[in-house]
Amino acid sequence: MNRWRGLKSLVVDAVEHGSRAVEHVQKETVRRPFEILAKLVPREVPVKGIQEIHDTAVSGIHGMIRLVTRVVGSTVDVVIDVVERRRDLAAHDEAPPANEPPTEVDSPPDPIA
Amino acid sequence: MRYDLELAIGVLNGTIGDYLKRTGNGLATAMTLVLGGKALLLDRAAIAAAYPAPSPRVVIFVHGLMSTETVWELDDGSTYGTRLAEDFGITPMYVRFNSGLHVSENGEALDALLSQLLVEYPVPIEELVLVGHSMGGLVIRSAAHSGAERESPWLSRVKRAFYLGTPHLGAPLERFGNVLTWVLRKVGDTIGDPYTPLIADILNLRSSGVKDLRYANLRREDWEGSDADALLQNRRHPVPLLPSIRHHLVAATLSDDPRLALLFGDAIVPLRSATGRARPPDRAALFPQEHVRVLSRLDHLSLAHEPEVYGLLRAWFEESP
Repeated sequence: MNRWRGLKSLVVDAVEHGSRAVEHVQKETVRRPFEILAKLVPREVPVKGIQEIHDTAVSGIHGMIRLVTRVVGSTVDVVIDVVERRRDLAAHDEAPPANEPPTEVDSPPDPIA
Repeated sequence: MRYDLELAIGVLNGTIGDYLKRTGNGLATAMTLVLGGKALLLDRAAIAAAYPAPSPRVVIFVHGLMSTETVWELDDGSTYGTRLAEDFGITPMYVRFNSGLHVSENGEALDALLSQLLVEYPVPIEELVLVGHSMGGLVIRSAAHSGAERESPWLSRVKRAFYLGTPHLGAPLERFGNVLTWVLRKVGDTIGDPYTPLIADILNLRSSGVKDLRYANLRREDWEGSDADALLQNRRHPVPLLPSIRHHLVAATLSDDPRLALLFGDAIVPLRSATGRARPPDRAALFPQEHVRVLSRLDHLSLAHEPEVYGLLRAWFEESP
């Protein structure tokens, strides 16, 4: 279960960092064309305003991607918790009473599992 | 299937293992002894159950970067360890660790693990033999350095150490990675292109363990307080070879041709690095060459599971320590 949790965290982290990097690249990519455009077109065309709208839209889309990822991540956490609890209960039900010796040699627990 | 999964996690640890540990991710591997793919608890009862007839002579196998203990498996299912057990009655034990951490961190962890093993092993350990493949050899040397500093008792039991394809002077592939990412970043900054620094950032995500291979860093002082992505900075502090240990080195070359062998080595580690032929600018210990063997027509990974290599180990084991 620990590993499932780790995998979930890794995916969430990858989307989070990836989205931030792509957002930065998208904004940087249009920065220069907008700068050139601002110098070429007449003053009455609000180039700066259009760029701000573009940047806000990009931030909004990526913010939404990150938000949805976090929500899905939290949901997966809850599911993992439920599965883990059910597993623990099932293991508890199957365990022999405390006064009975175990029937076989316990294998060492896997600390990384 | 389980072994494939463990191997995939081993590769992941080698690639971003430092990040996994830093973020407390459950996929980060803790250093442990393993047997049959399962972690072995370091207590007397668990070791006694796993090894019903423990020998006072123990051989410890340490795998390399992005790998697991499965790297030691030969085609017939045996390992150098099982063969040594059959031929010399030595008990083989296998270490699994997060190869994405700094070599010095893993060295300190191995030092601690061997100290605990000495206490918990069911019979008194008379001889401890260390075998490392690739980065595993550096981890062994780092553990010996850490053990010498802390006066760890296990160190007095070590008479021999074997390094198979270990990059004692570093790996040029990592140095190339360092140059490439530095150039990409500079190009991106100069022309104002946002894509090239992004590529550099992604390439720079490679783990601390990988970056340590640039100059074979063995000590904490080699990397602490430095920028790991600075261009070709050799901050290595020399680690002298412990005189009480006989160091055996096995290197591989892809080709029989001496010039090609010198140039490409085993495709990952060049010959000079694997044989420890250090020069003053390397700031590294020079290995005595009388216990160095070079095998041709062999690649880097095969060094961990090749009958010819076992033949060398066997011959060395037949000599008195």
